[in-house]
Amino acid sequence: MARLNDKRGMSLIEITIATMILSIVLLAAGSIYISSIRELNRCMDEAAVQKEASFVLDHIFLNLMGAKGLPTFNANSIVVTVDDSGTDKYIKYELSGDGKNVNFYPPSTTNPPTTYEVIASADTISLTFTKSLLKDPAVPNVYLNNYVTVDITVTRGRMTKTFSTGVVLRGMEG
Amino acid sequence: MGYPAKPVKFSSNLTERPLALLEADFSCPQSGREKSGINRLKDNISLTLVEVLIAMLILSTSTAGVLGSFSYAFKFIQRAGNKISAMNYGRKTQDAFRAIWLANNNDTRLLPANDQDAKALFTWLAPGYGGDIKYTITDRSADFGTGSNQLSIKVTWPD
Repeated sequence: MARLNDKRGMSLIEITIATMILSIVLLAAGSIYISSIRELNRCMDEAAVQKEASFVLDHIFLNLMGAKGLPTFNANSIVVTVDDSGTDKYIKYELSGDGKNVNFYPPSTTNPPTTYEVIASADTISLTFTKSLLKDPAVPNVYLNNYVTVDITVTRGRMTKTFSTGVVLRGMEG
Repeated sequence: MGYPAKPVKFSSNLTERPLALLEADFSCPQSGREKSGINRLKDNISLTLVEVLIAMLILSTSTAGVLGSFSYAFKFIQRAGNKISAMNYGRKTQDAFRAIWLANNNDTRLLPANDQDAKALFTWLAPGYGGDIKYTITDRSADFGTGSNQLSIKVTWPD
Protein backbone atom coordinates (compact mmCIF):
# COMPACT_ATOMS: atom_id res chain seq x y z
CA MET A 1 0.00 0.00 0.00
CA ALA A 2 2.73 2.37 0.92
CA ARG A 3 4.55 1.43 -2.24
CA LEU A 4 1.48 2.29 -4.30
CA ASN A 5 1.27 5.70 -2.68
CA ASP A 6 4.85 6.62 -3.37
CA LYS A 7 4.40 5.43 -6.98
CA ARG A 8 7.28 3.02 -6.87
CA GLY A 9 6.88 -0.30 -8.66
CA MET A 10 7.39 -3.81 -7.28
CA SER A 11 10.64 -5.59 -7.73
CA LEU A 12 11.01 -8.60 -10.02
CA ILE A 13 11.48 -10.89 -7.03
CA GLU A 14 8.28 -9.63 -5.40
CA ILE A 15 6.30 -10.13 -8.60
CA THR A 16 7.77 -13.62 -9.04
CA ILE A 17 6.91 -14.61 -5.49
CA ALA A 18 3.40 -13.16 -5.81
CA THR A 19 2.87 -15.03 -9.08
CA MET A 20 4.10 -18.26 -7.51
CA ILE A 21 1.79 -17.91 -4.53
CA LEU A 22 -1.13 -17.06 -6.81
CA SER A 23 -0.46 -20.02 -9.07
CA ILE A 24 -0.23 -22.40 -6.08
CA VAL A 25 -3.52 -21.08 -4.72
CA LEU A 26 -5.19 -21.32 -8.14
CA LEU A 27 -3.81 -24.82 -8.67
CA ALA A 28 -5.13 -25.97 -5.30
CA ALA A 29 -8.54 -24.40 -5.89
CA GLY A 30 -8.72 -25.86 -9.40
CA SER A 31 -7.82 -29.36 -8.26
CA ILE A 32 -10.40 -29.21 -5.48
CA TYR A 33 -13.02 -28.09 -7.98
CA ILE A 34 -12.11 -30.83 -10.47
CA SER A 35 -12.09 -33.50 -7.76
CA SER A 36 -15.50 -32.37 -6.55
CA ILE A 37 -16.98 -32.47 -10.04
CA ARG A 38 -15.46 -35.89 -10.70
CA GLU A 39 -16.81 -37.29 -7.44
CA LEU A 40 -20.24 -35.80 -8.12
CA ASN A 41 -20.31 -37.36 -11.59
CA ARG A 42 -19.30 -40.72 -10.13
CA CYS A 43 -22.18 -40.51 -7.64
CA MET A 44 -24.65 -39.56 -10.35
CA ASP A 45 -23.51 -42.35 -12.68
CA GLU A 46 -23.70 -44.93 -9.92
CA ALA A 47 -27.19 -43.79 -8.93
CA ALA A 48 -28.32 -43.74 -12.57
CA VAL A 49 -27.15 -47.28 -13.36
CA GLN A 50 -28.77 -48.59 -10.18
CA LYS A 51 -32.02 -46.86 -11.00
CA GLU A 52 -32.13 -48.17 -14.57
CA ALA A 53 -31.16 -51.74 -13.65
CA SER A 54 -33.50 -52.09 -10.69
CA PHE A 55 -36.39 -50.50 -12.58
CA VAL A 56 -36.03 -52.95 -15.47
CA LEU A 57 -35.77 -55.94 -13.14
CA ASP A 58 -38.86 -54.90 -11.17
CA HIS A 59 -40.77 -54.23 -14.40
CA ILE A 60 -39.93 -57.65 -15.83
CA PHE A 61 -40.48 -59.46 -12.53
CA LEU A 62 -43.95 -58.02 -11.96
CA ASN A 63 -45.14 -58.61 -15.54
CA LEU A 64 -43.71 -62.10 -15.86
CA MET A 65 -45.11 -63.12 -12.50
CA GLY A 66 -48.65 -63.23 -13.86
CA ALA A 67 -47.75 -64.89 -17.16
CA LYS A 68 -49.56 -68.05 -18.23
CA GLY A 69 -47.54 -68.92 -21.32
CA LEU A 70 -44.12 -68.49 -22.85
CA PRO A 71 -44.53 -68.53 -26.65
CA THR A 72 -41.08 -67.05 -27.42
CA PHE A 73 -37.96 -67.42 -25.36
CA ASN A 74 -34.53 -66.17 -26.48
CA ALA A 75 -31.42 -65.01 -24.69
CA ASN A 76 -32.20 -61.32 -25.32
CA SER A 77 -35.97 -61.28 -25.82
CA ILE A 78 -39.01 -62.89 -24.31
CA VAL A 79 -42.72 -62.98 -25.16
CA VAL A 80 -45.21 -64.10 -22.54
CA THR A 81 -48.95 -64.58 -22.56
CA VAL A 82 -50.99 -62.78 -19.93
CA ASP A 83 -54.65 -62.76 -19.13
CA ASP A 84 -56.19 -59.33 -19.64
CA SER A 85 -59.84 -59.40 -18.46
CA GLY A 86 -60.47 -62.81 -19.97
CA THR A 87 -58.51 -62.16 -23.18
CA ASP A 88 -55.06 -63.55 -23.89
CA LYS A 89 -52.56 -60.83 -24.67
CA TYR A 90 -48.84 -60.80 -25.35
CA ILE A 91 -46.11 -58.89 -23.61
CA LYS A 92 -42.60 -58.67 -24.93
CA TYR A 93 -39.26 -57.53 -23.55
CA GLU A 94 -36.17 -57.19 -25.66
CA LEU A 95 -32.74 -55.67 -25.72
CA SER A 96 -32.45 -53.20 -28.60
CA GLY A 97 -30.14 -54.09 -31.48
CA ASP A 98 -27.54 -51.49 -30.50
CA GLY A 99 -27.45 -52.77 -26.91
CA LYS A 100 -28.35 -49.40 -25.42
CA ASN A 101 -32.07 -49.75 -24.61
CA VAL A 102 -34.53 -52.17 -23.08
CA ASN A 103 -37.80 -52.17 -25.02
CA PHE A 104 -41.13 -53.12 -23.51
CA TYR A 105 -44.09 -54.08 -25.69
CA PRO A 106 -47.32 -53.51 -23.69
CA PRO A 107 -50.13 -56.10 -23.80
CA SER A 108 -51.32 -56.68 -27.34
CA THR A 109 -53.49 -59.26 -29.07
CA THR A 110 -50.92 -59.72 -31.85
CA ASN A 111 -48.03 -62.08 -31.40
CA PRO A 112 -45.40 -60.76 -31.32
CA PRO A 113 -46.52 -57.27 -30.31
CA THR A 114 -45.31 -54.48 -32.59
CA THR A 115 -45.42 -51.21 -30.65
CA TYR A 116 -42.96 -50.65 -27.89
CA GLU A 117 -41.67 -48.13 -25.42
CA VAL A 118 -38.15 -47.75 -24.12
CA ILE A 119 -38.07 -48.43 -20.38
CA ALA A 120 -34.32 -48.04 -19.86
CA SER A 121 -31.37 -46.64 -21.71
CA ALA A 122 -27.68 -46.32 -20.94
CA ASP A 123 -24.29 -46.36 -22.65
CA THR A 124 -24.47 -50.14 -22.85
CA ILE A 125 -26.97 -52.64 -21.49
CA SER A 126 -26.76 -56.40 -21.40
CA LEU A 127 -30.05 -58.25 -20.77
CA THR A 128 -30.13 -62.03 -20.63
CA PHE A 129 -32.96 -64.46 -20.03
CA THR A 130 -32.15 -68.05 -19.08
CA LYS A 131 -33.83 -71.18 -17.80
CA SER A 132 -31.46 -72.51 -15.18
CA LEU A 133 -33.50 -74.49 -12.70
CA LEU A 134 -33.26 -78.26 -13.20
CA LYS A 135 -36.58 -80.06 -13.10
CA ASP A 136 -34.92 -82.93 -11.28
CA PRO A 137 -31.46 -82.50 -9.76
CA ALA A 138 -30.61 -86.05 -10.81
CA VAL A 139 -31.45 -85.43 -14.48
CA PRO A 140 -29.13 -82.97 -16.26
CA ASN A 141 -30.19 -80.46 -18.93
CA VAL A 142 -33.92 -80.70 -18.29
CA TYR A 143 -35.06 -77.35 -16.97
CA LEU A 144 -38.28 -76.13 -15.42
CA ASN A 145 -40.31 -74.19 -17.97
CA ASN A 146 -41.95 -71.79 -15.57
CA TYR A 147 -38.82 -70.35 -13.97
CA VAL A 148 -36.84 -67.67 -15.79
CA THR A 149 -33.72 -65.91 -14.56
CA VAL A 150 -33.05 -62.36 -15.68
CA ASP A 151 -29.59 -60.80 -15.61
CA ILE A 152 -28.99 -57.19 -16.44
CA THR A 153 -25.76 -55.21 -16.63
CA VAL A 154 -25.97 -51.47 -17.14
CA THR A 155 -22.97 -49.28 -17.94
CA ARG A 156 -22.95 -45.53 -17.81
CA GLY A 157 -19.74 -43.55 -17.86
CA ARG A 158 -17.24 -45.45 -15.75
CA MET A 159 -19.95 -47.16 -13.71
CA THR A 160 -21.21 -50.68 -14.31
CA LYS A 161 -23.82 -52.45 -12.24
CA THR A 162 -25.12 -56.00 -12.55
CA PHE A 163 -28.34 -57.23 -11.01
CA SER A 164 -29.89 -60.65 -11.27
CA THR A 165 -33.27 -62.06 -10.34
CA GLY A 166 -35.51 -64.99 -11.07
CA VAL A 167 -39.25 -65.26 -11.47
CA VAL A 168 -41.84 -68.01 -11.55
CA LEU A 169 -44.44 -67.62 -14.25
CA ARG A 170 -47.20 -68.50 -11.86
CA GLY A 171 -49.84 -69.32 -14.44
CA MET A 172 -47.67 -71.96 -16.11
CA GLU A 173 -47.02 -75.61 -15.50
CA GLY A 174 -43.45 -76.55 -14.66
CA MET B 1 28.92 25.65 -1.27
CA GLY B 2 26.95 25.44 -4.56
CA TYR B 3 24.18 23.04 -3.51
CA PRO B 4 21.25 25.32 -2.79
CA ALA B 5 18.37 23.14 -4.08
CA LYS B 6 19.28 19.73 -2.76
CA PRO B 7 18.57 20.13 0.99
CA VAL B 8 15.00 21.29 0.26
CA LYS B 9 14.06 18.21 -1.69
CA PHE B 10 15.73 15.94 0.83
CA SER B 11 13.93 17.48 3.74
CA SER B 12 10.55 17.08 2.07
CA ASN B 13 11.18 13.37 1.70
CA LEU B 14 12.09 13.11 5.31
CA THR B 15 9.03 14.94 6.59
CA GLU B 16 6.47 12.99 4.53
CA ARG B 17 7.09 9.55 5.97
CA PRO B 18 7.25 10.36 9.69
CA LEU B 19 4.03 12.34 9.32
CA ALA B 20 2.25 9.38 7.79
CA LEU B 21 3.45 7.09 10.54
CA LEU B 22 2.43 9.53 13.24
CA GLU B 23 -1.02 9.84 11.67
CA ALA B 24 -1.52 6.14 11.70
CA ASP B 25 -0.45 5.80 15.29
CA PHE B 26 -2.69 8.53 16.60
CA SER B 27 -5.80 7.78 14.53
CA CYS B 28 -6.37 4.44 16.22
CA PRO B 29 -5.41 3.90 19.83
CA GLN B 30 -5.57 0.07 19.57
CA SER B 31 -2.44 -1.96 19.11
CA GLY B 32 -1.79 -3.71 15.76
CA ARG B 33 -2.76 -7.12 17.15
CA GLU B 34 -6.23 -5.95 18.16
CA LYS B 35 -7.20 -4.16 14.94
CA SER B 36 -9.81 -5.49 12.55
CA GLY B 37 -8.96 -6.72 9.05
CA ILE B 38 -9.86 -3.53 7.20
CA ASN B 39 -7.85 -1.35 9.56
CA ARG B 40 -4.93 -3.70 9.15
CA LEU B 41 -5.02 -3.27 5.41
CA LYS B 42 -5.07 0.50 5.80
CA ASP B 43 -2.19 0.38 8.23
CA ASN B 44 -0.24 -2.08 6.12
CA ILE B 45 -0.02 -4.65 8.96
CA SER B 46 0.10 -8.26 7.77
CA LEU B 47 -1.19 -11.46 9.42
CA THR B 48 0.93 -13.29 11.94
CA LEU B 49 2.17 -16.84 11.32
CA VAL B 50 -0.30 -18.26 13.84
CA GLU B 51 -3.19 -16.50 12.12
CA VAL B 52 -2.11 -17.77 8.71
CA LEU B 53 -1.80 -21.29 10.09
CA ILE B 54 -5.26 -21.11 11.66
CA ALA B 55 -6.72 -19.82 8.39
CA MET B 56 -5.04 -22.65 6.48
CA LEU B 57 -6.35 -25.18 9.00
CA ILE B 58 -9.90 -23.89 8.62
CA LEU B 59 -9.61 -23.88 4.83
CA SER B 60 -8.16 -27.38 4.65
CA THR B 61 -10.77 -28.72 7.09
CA SER B 62 -13.64 -27.30 5.07
CA THR B 63 -12.11 -28.61 1.82
CA ALA B 64 -11.70 -32.06 3.32
CA GLY B 65 -15.30 -31.86 4.51
CA VAL B 66 -16.60 -31.08 1.02
CA LEU B 67 -14.60 -33.87 -0.61
CA GLY B 68 -15.46 -36.26 2.23
CA SER B 69 -19.16 -35.61 1.82
CA PHE B 70 -18.96 -36.54 -1.86
CA SER B 71 -17.02 -39.66 -1.02
CA TYR B 72 -19.53 -40.62 1.66
CA ALA B 73 -22.41 -40.03 -0.75
CA PHE B 74 -20.77 -42.39 -3.22
CA LYS B 75 -20.29 -45.04 -0.54
CA PHE B 76 -23.90 -44.57 0.55
CA ILE B 77 -25.17 -45.10 -3.00
CA GLN B 78 -22.96 -48.17 -3.39
CA ARG B 79 -24.39 -49.64 -0.20
CA ALA B 80 -27.90 -49.00 -1.47
CA GLY B 81 -26.96 -50.83 -4.68
CA ASN B 82 -25.61 -53.78 -2.71
CA LYS B 83 -28.86 -53.92 -0.79
CA ILE B 84 -30.91 -53.94 -4.01
CA SER B 85 -28.66 -56.66 -5.35
CA ALA B 86 -29.12 -58.75 -2.20
CA MET B 87 -32.88 -58.27 -2.33
CA ASN B 88 -32.95 -59.50 -5.94
CA TYR B 89 -30.91 -62.57 -5.04
CA GLY B 90 -33.34 -63.27 -2.21
CA ARG B 91 -36.27 -62.98 -4.58
CA LYS B 92 -34.51 -65.18 -7.11
CA THR B 93 -33.92 -67.89 -4.52
CA GLN B 94 -37.44 -67.70 -3.17
CA ASP B 95 -38.96 -68.01 -6.63
CA ALA B 96 -36.68 -70.95 -7.43
CA PHE B 97 -38.15 -72.84 -4.46
CA ARG B 98 -41.63 -71.74 -5.49
CA ALA B 99 -41.06 -73.09 -9.01
CA ILE B 100 -39.92 -76.44 -7.61
CA TRP B 101 -42.93 -76.54 -5.31
CA LEU B 102 -45.33 -75.77 -8.18
CA ALA B 103 -43.75 -78.51 -10.31
CA ASN B 104 -43.43 -81.19 -7.63
CA ASN B 105 -44.16 -80.56 -3.98
CA ASN B 106 -42.43 -83.81 -3.04
CA ASP B 107 -39.11 -82.68 -4.49
CA THR B 108 -36.18 -83.52 -2.21
CA ARG B 109 -34.98 -79.92 -2.38
CA LEU B 110 -38.02 -78.91 -0.35
CA LEU B 111 -37.18 -81.08 2.66
CA PRO B 112 -36.70 -79.27 5.98
CA ALA B 113 -33.24 -77.75 6.26
CA ASN B 114 -31.57 -75.34 8.61
CA ASP B 115 -29.41 -72.44 7.41
CA GLN B 116 -28.20 -74.20 4.27
CA ASP B 117 -26.18 -72.61 1.50
CA ALA B 118 -28.46 -71.82 -1.42
CA LYS B 119 -25.49 -71.09 -3.67
CA ALA B 120 -24.37 -74.69 -3.22
CA LEU B 121 -27.86 -76.04 -3.95
CA PHE B 122 -28.30 -73.86 -7.05
CA THR B 123 -24.84 -73.31 -8.53
CA TRP B 124 -26.20 -70.92 -11.17
CA LEU B 125 -27.88 -68.71 -8.56
CA ALA B 126 -25.23 -66.10 -7.86
CA PRO B 127 -21.85 -66.95 -9.32
CA GLY B 128 -19.19 -64.58 -8.01
CA TYR B 129 -21.48 -62.98 -5.44
CA GLY B 130 -19.53 -61.94 -2.34
CA GLY B 131 -22.33 -62.33 0.21
CA ASP B 132 -24.04 -65.43 1.60
CA ILE B 133 -27.44 -66.76 0.56
CA LYS B 134 -28.83 -69.12 3.19
CA TYR B 135 -32.17 -70.85 3.33
CA THR B 136 -34.15 -72.52 6.06
CA ILE B 137 -37.14 -74.76 5.48
CA THR B 138 -39.20 -75.38 8.61
CA ASP B 139 -41.91 -77.97 9.02
CA ARG B 140 -45.11 -76.09 9.94
CA SER B 141 -47.49 -79.06 9.78
CA ALA B 142 -48.61 -78.42 13.34
CA ASP B 143 -49.78 -74.90 12.47
CA PHE B 144 -51.02 -75.16 8.88
CA GLY B 145 -51.77 -78.83 8.24
CA THR B 146 -49.83 -81.85 7.05
CA GLY B 147 -47.03 -81.12 4.57
CA SER B 148 -46.91 -77.38 5.27
CA ASN B 149 -43.42 -75.91 5.17
CA GLN B 150 -42.12 -72.41 5.67
CA LEU B 151 -39.23 -71.08 3.65
CA SER B 152 -36.90 -68.35 4.94
CA ILE B 153 -34.15 -66.79 2.88
CA LYS B 154 -31.32 -64.81 4.45
CA VAL B 155 -29.00 -62.83 2.20
CA THR B 156 -25.97 -60.95 3.42
CA TRP B 157 -24.17 -58.43 1.28
CA PRO B 158 -20.65 -57.04 1.29
CA ASP B 159 -20.44 -53.64 2.95
